[in-house]
Amino acid sequence: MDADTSRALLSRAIARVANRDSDALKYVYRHTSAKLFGVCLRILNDREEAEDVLQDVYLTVWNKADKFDAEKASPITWLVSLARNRAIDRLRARGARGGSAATAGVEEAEALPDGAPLASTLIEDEDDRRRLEGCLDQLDPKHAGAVRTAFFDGVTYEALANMLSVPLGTMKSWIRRSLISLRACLEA
Amino acid sequence: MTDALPPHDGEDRPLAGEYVLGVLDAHERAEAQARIAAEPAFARAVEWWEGRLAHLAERIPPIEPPAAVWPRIANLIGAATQKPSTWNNVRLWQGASAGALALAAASIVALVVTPRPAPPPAVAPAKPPPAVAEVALITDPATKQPALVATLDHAAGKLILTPVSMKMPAGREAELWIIPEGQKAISLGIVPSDAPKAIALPAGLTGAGTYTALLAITDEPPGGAPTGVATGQVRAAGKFVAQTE
Repeated sequence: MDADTSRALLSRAIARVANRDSDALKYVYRHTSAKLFGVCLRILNDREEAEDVLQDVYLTVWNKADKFDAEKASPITWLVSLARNRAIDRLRARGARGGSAATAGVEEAEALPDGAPLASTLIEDEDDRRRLEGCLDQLDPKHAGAVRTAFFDGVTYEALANMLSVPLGTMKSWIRRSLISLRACLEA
Repeated sequence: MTDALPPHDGEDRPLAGEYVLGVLDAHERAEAQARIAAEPAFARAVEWWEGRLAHLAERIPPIEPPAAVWPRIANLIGAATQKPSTWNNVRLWQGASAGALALAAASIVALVVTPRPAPPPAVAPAKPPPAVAEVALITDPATKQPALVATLDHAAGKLILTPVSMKMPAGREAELWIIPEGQKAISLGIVPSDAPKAIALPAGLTGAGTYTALLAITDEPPGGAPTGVATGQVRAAGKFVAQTE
């Protein structure tokens, strides 16, 4: 199955979820849950919390599938964004309770084995991906590294500055300048 | 703050990109989420960044979630093959405190006073009339323990909320939401964790559509979600079951 076909199937399944078709949600879950669990686990570093968030994500898909617009976004982009947002919100809530496990166990998470990759469903538009990589490569390597770490770990400016041993103001300036450069590069 | 850039430099600050990248703190995130809801241009900017940055996720290895997660989701969306009756659900209450349990049970017993007619034939010409009252067990998805029992009384136009075991993180309050099928969540306000409460049914929720509505509890800042949209985690959820006994 090529990427366009699997993307179309996933989009159609989400459209069926909007009509309260639980089999369609099961299809979406079967083809995307390993990816989304990987994303949540990377941010939360806690299996139980990642499971909670994963469950919450698919309940949100169940309730908000009508908000997905296949013309505007790829289904996997929509799902990954949803999962990242929920995981980051959970991470921030944990921070507010005084916990600071945010950066612990990063290496451990990286060492986790691959699950079933289900690559056919998850291959994004290869041109878009290459374009992003190309634009990231134009940044100062340290800045590009900070952008990637921020995305993978979902940590605040402050935590990011601590992790990479850079003053907070410098980190904000790196990321903001990187985003402005990326926007210009990606829009070009 | 030792910020190299001025904090409110408008167009120069790529706030939508910062939000999507995930570097904002809890307060700034909540502000950005409120702007997504209120400002279409900002929401479009966020979508643009999501469409671009999500490609980074391809570097994150997929990890198979535990097999128990899907059945929990299926149960919460009502996709389980066997729909348990209310009384079977009572078994799920094991572990709840005796007093709260008795209170919850009493509120249900009080409603099951009239025997219901036999279920309609498979091919009914019209929808059966709505039941007098319906009960929803709002359970913690992780532990399966009921957090709250909600009884919907159509005759009185009230929703009676009986807390059973509601655990919230410190400094957070339980906000109840009703999500009619295919619609947005509507806040039913903050619910106390230690005393029953009866609230008026919001307009438009008095019809048969409420049979399929999902009730959910999220943890929110004191006073409730500031923008009317849930910001916390779903702590418990459940659906109404019509009284047919």
